[in-house]
Amino acid sequence: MTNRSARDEIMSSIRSGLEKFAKAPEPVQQAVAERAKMPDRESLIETFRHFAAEEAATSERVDGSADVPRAVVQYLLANALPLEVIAAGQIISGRPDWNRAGELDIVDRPIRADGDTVVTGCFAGLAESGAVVTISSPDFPNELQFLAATHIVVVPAGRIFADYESFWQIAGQEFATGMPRSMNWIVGPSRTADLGVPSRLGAHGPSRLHLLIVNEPGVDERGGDEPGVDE
Amino acid sequence: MRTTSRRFHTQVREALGNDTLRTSLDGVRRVMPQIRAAAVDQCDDFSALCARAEAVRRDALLRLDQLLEKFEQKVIESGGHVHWARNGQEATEIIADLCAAAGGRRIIKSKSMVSEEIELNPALETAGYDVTETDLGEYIIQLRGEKPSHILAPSLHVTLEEVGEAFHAHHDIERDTPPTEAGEMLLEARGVLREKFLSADVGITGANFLVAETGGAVIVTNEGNADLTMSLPDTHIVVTGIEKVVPSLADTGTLLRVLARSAIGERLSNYTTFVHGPRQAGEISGPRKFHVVLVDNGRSALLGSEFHDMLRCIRCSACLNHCPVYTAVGGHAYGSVYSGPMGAVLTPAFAGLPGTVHLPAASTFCGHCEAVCPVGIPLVQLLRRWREKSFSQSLPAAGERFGLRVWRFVNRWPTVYRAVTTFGAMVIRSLSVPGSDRRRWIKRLPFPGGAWTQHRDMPAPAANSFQTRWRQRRSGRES
Amino acid sequence: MTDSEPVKTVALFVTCLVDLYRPDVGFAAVRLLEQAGFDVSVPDQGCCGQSNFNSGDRDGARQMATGIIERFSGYDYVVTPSGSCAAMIRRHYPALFDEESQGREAALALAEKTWELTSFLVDRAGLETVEATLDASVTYHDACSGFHELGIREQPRRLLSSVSGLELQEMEQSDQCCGFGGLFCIKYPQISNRIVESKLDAIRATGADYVVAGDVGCMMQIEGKLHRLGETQIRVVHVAEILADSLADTLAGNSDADD
Repeated sequence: MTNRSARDEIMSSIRSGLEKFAKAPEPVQQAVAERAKMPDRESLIETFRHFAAEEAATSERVDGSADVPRAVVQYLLANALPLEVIAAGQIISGRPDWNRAGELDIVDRPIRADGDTVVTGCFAGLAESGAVVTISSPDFPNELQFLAATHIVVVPAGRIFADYESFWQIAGQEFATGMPRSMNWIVGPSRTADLGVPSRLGAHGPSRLHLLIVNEPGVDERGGDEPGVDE
Repeated sequence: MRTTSRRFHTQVREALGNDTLRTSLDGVRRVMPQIRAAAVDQCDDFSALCARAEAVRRDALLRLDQLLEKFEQKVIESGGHVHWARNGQEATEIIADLCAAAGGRRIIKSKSMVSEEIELNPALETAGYDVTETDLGEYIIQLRGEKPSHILAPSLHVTLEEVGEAFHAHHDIERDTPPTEAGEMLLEARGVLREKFLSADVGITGANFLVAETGGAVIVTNEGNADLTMSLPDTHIVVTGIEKVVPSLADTGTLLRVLARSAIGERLSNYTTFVHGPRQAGEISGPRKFHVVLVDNGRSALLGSEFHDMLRCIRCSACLNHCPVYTAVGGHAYGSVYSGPMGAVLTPAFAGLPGTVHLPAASTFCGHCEAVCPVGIPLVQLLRRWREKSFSQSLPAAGERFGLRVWRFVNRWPTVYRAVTTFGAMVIRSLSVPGSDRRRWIKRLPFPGGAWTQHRDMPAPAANSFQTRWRQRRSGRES
Repeated sequence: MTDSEPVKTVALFVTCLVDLYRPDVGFAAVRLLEQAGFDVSVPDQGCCGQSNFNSGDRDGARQMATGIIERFSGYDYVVTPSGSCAAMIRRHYPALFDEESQGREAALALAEKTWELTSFLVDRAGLETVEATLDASVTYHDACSGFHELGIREQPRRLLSSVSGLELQEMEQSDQCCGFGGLFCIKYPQISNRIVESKLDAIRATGADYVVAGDVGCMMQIEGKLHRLGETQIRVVHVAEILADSLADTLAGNSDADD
């Protein structure tokens, strides 16, 4: 539905404004050379963690998917948080490892009250800014990650990209059939400087963001090859 | 666009008399350039990043019609709708209609400068809607009934104490005295706004960029409020300017690299969201209706004009933070939602020159703004162009125009220059008195010099000018 | 420069503020240029036109530029003790004239050979040190035009660091505007005043004895405010005066003496 006459008038105004310019060529995609500083996977992961930490996100390395539930429990205990997490997306449901973490309550409910912890997977990590990328899907109502007070993200080490360009290459392939409704690049917990400096965490979104970087490939349902390092 | 820029002098006087504002602005002036510089230093070559960002914005404008067509097509393919508004009035009508169609009366908003520009909130409130701003800074000024004083930090002028008072006056909480601790206030705001998020019928956001390739909108915040605004209610409306569109997702990465660094000295803001269309098949949440309202309101008229380059602006606010005038008087003095150097160029374009003439005039042309603009907008040149228009329309005061004419005349012939300046220097010097430092000083000058001596002394002109003494030396040598 | 090469000629563009308010700065500039081996002339001259240019009076600026271009052609270099005047000639004169016109050509020729003083001495003449003494601490104010339009930052500092006894104390944000801004300081005096107050805060915090700058407009703004506040212990001087070792003259009030 478009309001035709307004659209036509605006387009006509744009075109007459652009008349004086020569026909613009298609712009060329330009590569970025930040990769030199991340010559191998280890330095890439360290850069990712370092930049995430600068934005107050905590992180730890975990050997395999089997170790994730225990790492979650330990994180919750260390931060005096209740041993209950909201399952969000495929990261938990159907995975046998989680049943072994008996002490942890895994619930499946919408979030209304404040104070919940949500555990999610992610689509990717972006080392150049320490961001995690999550996407909405039928399995993942992504508002959960904003309504929770604590957000724990399981990040497959193999899905951390050095820079945006290498990310877009893979994303372009994986989203060939269509973009997700919502793709979120998240670095650090929610913050505001509107109540003075230094910034306060937990403005509306989570006040804690914790990243569990798993060395095993294929932890996330997407799996995939090691991206971003040696192209 | 409506402004109170005509009242610039009064608004400046009020701002300069406000001590708490002075403290906030001093903080901006001293800290923001520092943190931007630190972020820039960490890059291998920030100026190369800026050159790429400029190229993206420059090229996008040159293909604006094609990109907007592509964008519209993609949004429709994804199940969304695109609306076109020639001006602010049209935009608010479209949005009001969309809200009516959505049903319910509760609207939540994340920060959108365009929505301020078109005065959306008053229009919706008049139509009976309950509109809540969710960006904390916008929420605070909404409670206080004020306009933003900085394009990124709208409540910059509000003290913590005043925030507490506003919360105390408007929040339904049993207590005797207003809250005083920032942490306390944060939790309170979080709770109050959470209710609004969870019960809203419509979410209205702006957009930092639009992506033609995929029909996406990119929305950037540090609070995450935009994400809640656009994912919880059943209708999501994006209101933004037509100039925001770029060709591809990869282009947004180029711009994001310079945006947060320029704005707040960070690599990336906390939340960067790429939204495409409404809820998809199988999803259990997300808005079922997705609308983009593209606002012209004077933008297409700038294309191909002398002010074309201004359309590259990505609203980072670096120019505000580095401007000696903005950091002296703050945003309200400008009387426009767009302040600082970018506001001084845009406001006359959107609101007409006579009423806004002070904005491009009140600049020292120090050049800091264009030095830090990540998309290379020649701000000083654009401000000068406004001054040329102003001069040709005889808008500056008669005294100023006369003085410039006289100075131009005097400088036609060096002999006239010498005679006039010798005489003038003698007159001014006659008003001087000896100071403690063996120099002569003037405490009070007659009009127009009184503006100088209002706040400063003036050193007396020399008894003999350089050129006079030079000639004397030369003739002395030759004789 | 070898004996076989003709001595290069420099025309001094003295600037109206130096001409009328601080002639000693002009003499200091001449001394520095002559010491560096140049033959200095001072053509009959007036204003560079930046006030008219920046006020939107392009025609007036063009007219004034035409006069300057005429009078200053015929020299190897044009040197001026002002970043803003140098920038006016170098960066803005050419565009005042139509493309392909004679005026544009002449303006381009002048622009190419016009320099701000310290930049000329360091970047063109290859000067690295000066013979001067000043037992004092100084802080340097980076005037806007020179800094942003001409990239003048290192040159004055390099030469100042060779002055014996001089201690350079950088102020916080030395490149922050002083609030002079040409006609701005008279059209918007309250804002200009607020801006210079911030500048003075930064200056005071260095504890320096001298504020040094490369533009007389900035100097008048800063010293005018200091003097109004009764803070006369901080002296405001032009970089040329320190480098030419002629400060004693200025401080003795010899600007006012007949020669």
